[in-house]
Amino acid sequence: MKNIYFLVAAYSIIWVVVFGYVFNLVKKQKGLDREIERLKNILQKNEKNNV
Amino acid sequence: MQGKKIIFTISLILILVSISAVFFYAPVEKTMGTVQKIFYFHVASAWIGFLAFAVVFVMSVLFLWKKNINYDIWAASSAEIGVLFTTIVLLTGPLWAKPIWNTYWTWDPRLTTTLILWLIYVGYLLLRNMIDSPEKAARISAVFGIIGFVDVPVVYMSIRWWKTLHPEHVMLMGGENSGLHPKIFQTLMLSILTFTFLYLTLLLIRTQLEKTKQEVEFLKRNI
Repeated sequence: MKNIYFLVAAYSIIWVVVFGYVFNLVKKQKGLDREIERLKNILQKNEKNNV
Repeated sequence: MQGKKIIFTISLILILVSISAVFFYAPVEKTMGTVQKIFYFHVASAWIGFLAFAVVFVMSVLFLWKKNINYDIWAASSAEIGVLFTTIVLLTGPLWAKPIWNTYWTWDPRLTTTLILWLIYVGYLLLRNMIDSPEKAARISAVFGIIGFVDVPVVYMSIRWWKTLHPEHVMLMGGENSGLHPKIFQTLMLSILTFTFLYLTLLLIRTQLEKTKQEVEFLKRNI
């Protein structure tokens, strides 16, 4: 079990980097989805006001 | 949507199966010991780096040819994922090297060309963000993506062209001459398959994000 720390560190880095990236992408996607909803509501209101 | 969910599920299952294979199926290598197990995901990450940059190359050519912005979205998304996995290669490599070579880093041809590859595609991503016009950014980065790909075969062939400390290529057939124990070879192939599915999953998430960004821009213009 010599050098086990290097192995643990390597596998920790891999999964922290990958899942950190996925988490970041999902967070950005949710933010953009909310932004789309907000913009669509504004557009609908504008259309109603114009009518 | 259904296809995406299937790929996500397969990726998660494969991740669990390949981690189990690395720790419970693959034998401990006699010379290097337990630390050699870094090899499986280190090599798989390097493979994804090459694959991702090859996709950047193909999508950049298609963008310049067809002028379809979707090709640029795929190229940019793939470049980001390629940089992510090349970063993993550059971080896990030294952790494997330290107990074996007694140093974290050496200016070995394979290591140096890999670092250059990483810098090229970090430059590609920075360049995209620095140019304000989306059309201009897409065109210039497509040219950059095509030229930058030249380093990929150089990285791959570096251990044949120059004297290097880095281990040699693994023969794809995994036969008696491959130098790999069959269980080590099978675990490596499983890791490569797992990372390929992981790449597809990340690519789908990343391209969806870029398309949503464009939708936001479109809606903003119409308000």
